[in-house]
Amino acid sequence: MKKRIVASLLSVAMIATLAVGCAGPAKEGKTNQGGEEVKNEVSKVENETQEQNKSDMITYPIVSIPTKIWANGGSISENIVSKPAYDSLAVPTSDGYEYYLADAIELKDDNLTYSIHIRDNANWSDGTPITSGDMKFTKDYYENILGYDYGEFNEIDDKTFELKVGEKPRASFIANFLAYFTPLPSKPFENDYTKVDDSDYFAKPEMITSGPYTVSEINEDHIIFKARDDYYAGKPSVETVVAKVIPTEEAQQVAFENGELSFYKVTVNDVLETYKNNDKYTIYEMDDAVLNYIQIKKKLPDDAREAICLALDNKEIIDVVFGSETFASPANSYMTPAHTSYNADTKYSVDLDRAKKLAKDSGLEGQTLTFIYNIDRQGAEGVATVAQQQLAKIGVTLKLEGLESGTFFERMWPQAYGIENPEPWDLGYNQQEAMAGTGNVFLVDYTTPGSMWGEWGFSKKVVDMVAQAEAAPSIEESNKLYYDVQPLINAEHLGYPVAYTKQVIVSQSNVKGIDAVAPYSGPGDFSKLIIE
Amino acid sequence: MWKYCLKKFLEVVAVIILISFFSFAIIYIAPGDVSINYIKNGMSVEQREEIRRQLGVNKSFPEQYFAWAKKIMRGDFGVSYANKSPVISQIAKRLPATIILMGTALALSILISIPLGLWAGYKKNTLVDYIISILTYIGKAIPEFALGMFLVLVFSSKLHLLPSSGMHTVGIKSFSDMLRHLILPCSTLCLGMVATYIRYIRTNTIDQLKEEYVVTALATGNSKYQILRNYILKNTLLPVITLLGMNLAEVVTGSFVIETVFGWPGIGTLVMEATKTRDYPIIMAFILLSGTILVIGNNLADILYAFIDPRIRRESKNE
Repeated sequence: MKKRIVASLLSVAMIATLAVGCAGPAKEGKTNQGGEEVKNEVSKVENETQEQNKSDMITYPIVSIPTKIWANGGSISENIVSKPAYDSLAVPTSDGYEYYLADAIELKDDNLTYSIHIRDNANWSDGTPITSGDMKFTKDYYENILGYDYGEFNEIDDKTFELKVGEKPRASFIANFLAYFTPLPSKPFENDYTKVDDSDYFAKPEMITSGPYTVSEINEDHIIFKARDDYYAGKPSVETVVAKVIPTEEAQQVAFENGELSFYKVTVNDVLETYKNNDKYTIYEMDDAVLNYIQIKKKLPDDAREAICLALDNKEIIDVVFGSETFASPANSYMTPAHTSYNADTKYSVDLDRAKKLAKDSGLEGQTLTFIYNIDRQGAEGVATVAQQQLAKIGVTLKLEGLESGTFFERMWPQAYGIENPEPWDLGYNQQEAMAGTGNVFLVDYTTPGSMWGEWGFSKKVVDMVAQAEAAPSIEESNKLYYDVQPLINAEHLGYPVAYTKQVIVSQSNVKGIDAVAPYSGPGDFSKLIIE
Repeated sequence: MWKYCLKKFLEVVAVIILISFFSFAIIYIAPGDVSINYIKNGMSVEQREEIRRQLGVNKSFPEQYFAWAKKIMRGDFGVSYANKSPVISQIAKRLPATIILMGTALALSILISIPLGLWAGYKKNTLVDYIISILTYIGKAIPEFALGMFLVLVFSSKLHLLPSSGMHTVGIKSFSDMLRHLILPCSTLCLGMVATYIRYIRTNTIDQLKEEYVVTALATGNSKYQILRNYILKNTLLPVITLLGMNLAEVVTGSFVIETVFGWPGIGTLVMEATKTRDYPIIMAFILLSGTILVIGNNLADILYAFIDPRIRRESKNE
């Protein structure tokens, strides 16, 4: 009996070994006996499939499978995964607009109303047209469920709608609206937006999409997107796009160097150095329109806030945390270089002597301030630590509180989450991702009294200037006002811009079009990917 | 014997109730509650209170606990806050991947560690013993994630022999492909488990070799190999059964570290995501599941002990 058990176990071990041995590449497989020829043939077919898959397939890494494959109101990680499947209306550029679902945008004479025409051949992946009704449905969802405010909607016909932004023009609004407003299909929800959140529609591959790809499969560790034949801009050249779950950057690096990934985002300078001057890879550095900043609470006196700003040194922070200016450059304003109104001349200076004097005079010296940061943001802990060391030089102790995302957002913006009696803090490190264009919707939040995302307490002069910039009748006038207000904002020391971060993406050398995709932030166009 | 089993069963029930109580209490004490997912910006205080009333979060702790426990008894673990899908179906979907990984690792660990442990104990203080012992020290000393990344670096990055992550190659769903993906994560897990089991088996083997029955068996003409196989093996398995009982829960709950490093789509990665997004229904279901299986595993081990070791049966009879 015992012999039989041992024999059985040995047999199982042998079979397992055989199965593994036969799974190797055909060219390396050893043909043992006649029966193994079949196994080798199967392996050969599998390998051919693999090779074929590799030649018309792009694979990129994601951290996890999102709960929904959609581009609206979700987390940044959900939006990144959903990019191949959804298009926005248009993306503002320095020359105007790059059109996607929309093909015409007209500002009416009242400077408040935009008339937007949807392409005649813009369809959902089931062949039904994308209509103004879908836009209205999406707008209702955003406004009633997520609390956004898009103004007054007017449906002209199936393919044309008007949007009146309010009583005053909103220069930064339209850029964000066009780029980030990605329509939801109204038909699966019977035009009832209240059904969206409780539905698992966007968790199943049967969902209809507006972008160049449809969702073909949703597995536990990867999502497969397939190119649409009926995409309005023509079928993408890459047949299959795969979003594969590889949670850690180290594992992504190995997978990429192994040829399992087409591209991935690099955040470590030492790793990037290994790819430079290597013909097998192409490196893309892209501006993100992302600003990392430290907000300083207005409850601290003016001199104290100025002392903090003079003591902080964002160049040192970048050197320590990001490794080099490849990944981030020192920020000097709440506009980023991607904004048309960016003022490169306004500066923050480092003056330790003056900082010490101001700290002493204002009573800041010897105090302990609470510094909150989001531990899920890369580099946040490093920034907090360096800031702690820098402020220690002027006699200020920072009590660091790293919070996970959910808790951090509630602590940073308690009014947006309806939290009463929030726990106080003095400095908060955060990241804003604004859409390139004229204005900066976050700056509007920081300066608008009663804003859901918390006004910072700027002076009336700054508040009025930002409001005028938003309400300016022309882009040129808006640019000028925004340009002029930036030094005034800096002078009030209600925050400290730390860094403009960049996406650094490395791709296999035969993969092109990564710069059009900008895969890790903002809208991007997967239809421009090419495999040579 | 049946009295012993009944006693163990009652202990299991009592401990499970305690686990459910503590898992509910932890979530109850944590900041925020389920209403966060339903309350929208701009709602009035009355609207928020009405939602809280509908969800039952305005009730006392005992009322909420018993309401939750009743649903659990019916198999209803609620829906995920993140994606509104039933928790039980999400766990069921990920369970096979975890069982494949952990079950294979556990089975292989036992198969490898028994002969090696016996051999090391039998060849105590020889070169064989030293080599096996050094391997076990290395297996215990190196953290799982470091070992995992090392194996990936060598076998995937440098030698291109094995895939670095995932459970399947995209587009391929064959068993052999899955086995190829299984090798690295399974090996990482095995090395740690094998190290633990070998130490126990080796120590027990050395102890057993000193027993008088071994001398008797030798005197009656049994070879050392026969003694190891027929007598010592059974006695050295007792602590292994205890370890197995404790490790049984891991077969279901998975390894957070290994599943994350290798992108293995099991329960470990599901719970990691739930922890990040504060998806409490999944976290609570996981705590309950892992605690329950751990308790059942331990008690099964005790019962198995009683079957294997007549001394324990005798003790329980005397009681």
